[in-house]
Amino acid sequence: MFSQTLRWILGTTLAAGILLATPPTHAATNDSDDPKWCRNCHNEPTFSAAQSKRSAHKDSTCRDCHQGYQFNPHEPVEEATSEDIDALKKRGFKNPVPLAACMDCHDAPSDTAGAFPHGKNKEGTKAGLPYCLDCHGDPHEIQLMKTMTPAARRTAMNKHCVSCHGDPKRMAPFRLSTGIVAAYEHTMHAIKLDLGSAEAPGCADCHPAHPPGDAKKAAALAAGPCIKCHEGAQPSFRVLANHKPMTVKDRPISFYTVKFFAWLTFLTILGLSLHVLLDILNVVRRARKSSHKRKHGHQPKLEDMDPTVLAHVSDGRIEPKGTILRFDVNQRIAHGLMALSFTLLAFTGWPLSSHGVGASHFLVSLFGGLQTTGLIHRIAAVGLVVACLYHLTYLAVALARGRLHFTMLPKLQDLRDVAANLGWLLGLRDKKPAYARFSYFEKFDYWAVFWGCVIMVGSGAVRWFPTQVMRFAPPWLYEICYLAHTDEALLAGLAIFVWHFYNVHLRPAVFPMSWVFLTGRMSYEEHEEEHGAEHAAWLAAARAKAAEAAAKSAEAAQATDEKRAP
Amino acid sequence: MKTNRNHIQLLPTYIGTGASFLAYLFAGAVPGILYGGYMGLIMSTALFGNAAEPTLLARIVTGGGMALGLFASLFFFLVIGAFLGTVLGLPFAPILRRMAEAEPMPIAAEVHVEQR
Repeated sequence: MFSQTLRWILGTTLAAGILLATPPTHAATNDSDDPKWCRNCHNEPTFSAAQSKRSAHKDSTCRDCHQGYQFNPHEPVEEATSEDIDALKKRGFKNPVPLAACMDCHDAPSDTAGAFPHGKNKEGTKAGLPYCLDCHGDPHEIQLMKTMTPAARRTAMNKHCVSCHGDPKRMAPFRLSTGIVAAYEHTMHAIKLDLGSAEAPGCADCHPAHPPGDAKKAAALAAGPCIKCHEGAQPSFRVLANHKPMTVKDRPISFYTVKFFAWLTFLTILGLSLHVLLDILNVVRRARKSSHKRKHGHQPKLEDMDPTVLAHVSDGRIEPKGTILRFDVNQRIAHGLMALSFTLLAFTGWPLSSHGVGASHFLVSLFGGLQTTGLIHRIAAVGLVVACLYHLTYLAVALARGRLHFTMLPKLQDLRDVAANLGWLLGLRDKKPAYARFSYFEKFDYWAVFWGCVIMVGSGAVRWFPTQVMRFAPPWLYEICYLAHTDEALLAGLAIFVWHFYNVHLRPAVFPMSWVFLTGRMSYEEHEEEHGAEHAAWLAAARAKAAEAAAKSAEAAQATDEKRAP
Repeated sequence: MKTNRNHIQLLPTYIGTGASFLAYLFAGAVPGILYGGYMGLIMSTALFGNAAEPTLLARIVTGGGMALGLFASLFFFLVIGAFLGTVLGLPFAPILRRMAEAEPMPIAAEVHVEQR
């Protein structure tokens, strides 16, 4: 009896347990607000995301938004739960119930002034204007702002803006150009945002779709969007951020600036690269001949020289060890400072000009983030300015003391040297031209740095202090500086890393490194090879001086003999 | 035309160059191509209009940019490596100088053999 009762109790309990533990096979049987019942059938990943801790709607239930839906057959109820539904239906929205649901929790955008076109949607004045989900995306995927980095939040928001403003069909009724998207992507705002800047604004920071919620933001916006970040910006400052496409019609100055620097960079780099390529090919072609010369030929050595002549070579410029002074200590300091600042500038500026390359993000993180990268860039810029001033002061002092020989000035002989060297590189001449103190490619390096410094320092200063400059300068000046800085940087970088590095350090004659920039000195043999004209001039002068000295001593000896003679 | 520095004295410079070449193969070649290609694309866009069509000229400029990026990266790594090798080798300079001085000149050796 007892066992029967026990069996009955156990059986009943087990059956009840199974019944309670088994989920319903059809959601229509349940009327709960718990999203898990809905997900029994609607099991898309985004619905899980909506329940994650990061979701902005984690505390909402499905039916909070999907109002008016019965569990089965899931038909919207004709009687709307919101008074907005009828108005929205009239405007052709296919699914007005969830849209109206947004406004149950969120304040409806109000735009009495009509300054916010998207805000007009509620009133239904224009067909085709976006509604909440067009800009804010799938509500299941909207995350709490505090769980996202500012850059990630703005980037996500920008994608929604671009989805409409980059679509020509969608923009056609409003006569808006989709070129603004491409133009925006070239702005510093977009570049910094792409590299993860917390401060860089997204579209909505400058172009809010709704009137700002609080009075402080509204006041800031009324004063102009730029002033939020650029303290002291005048109303005219706003024109700098125009997103007009870069065409002759819309932005002629920018268009021609880009064209000028593009062709300048292209032709210069093409010429320099071909010169380097010809040199490499020439080295390969003559390698066997040079090897033969080294084994069997004779190259004049310093120790072979007549000591009486040696004593007069360029007034003692040749040291006992046989090195010739090329650059004094001041020149080496200026060069070192410039090399260091240039390298830092290149590596901290490069990620911004090539933000589309993944390695740029790595470089930025290597420097400690975008803020630190910018700081290093500015410090290096100051270093570059100091290097320029140092050298200019050096030149001024040398000029005042009468020691400036203007050997770096371009001369007609340089053109002859170019032709002669090209002939040699192409195998049309047997002998390399004998250069004076500075060859044409050294002069090119020197004057290119001057040109580059003027462009880079000038445009960099304008970009560094835009609000101050814009108080008195026209907007086109900033546009030119903005474009010129990046384009000139590319030209300078390639010219230094390809042309300068090859000619100075990587030619087989000096590989793996020339020491002249460290010691300032060049060997006697190298000087004869690289600066044959100057070398020959020195020797001729020294021989003349030696002969003169010899003649004088002979005269003195003769006079002494005559005195001694009876 | 080599300088008059003995190859033994240049040993740290050569080591730096070799190490930097390995570093280039590991971390310089691919970014060089990527940056060069990116610059080539931007350049072809600026030269031939916005946006550049995949024409032969645009391809040549982009491909040229990739080659240029490859070489620019190589040159940069080699020069910086040689410089760092030289600087890091400075403490060993006296030892290397002594070794270089002890090393007989190869040309002199040849002459010596011929004289025999």
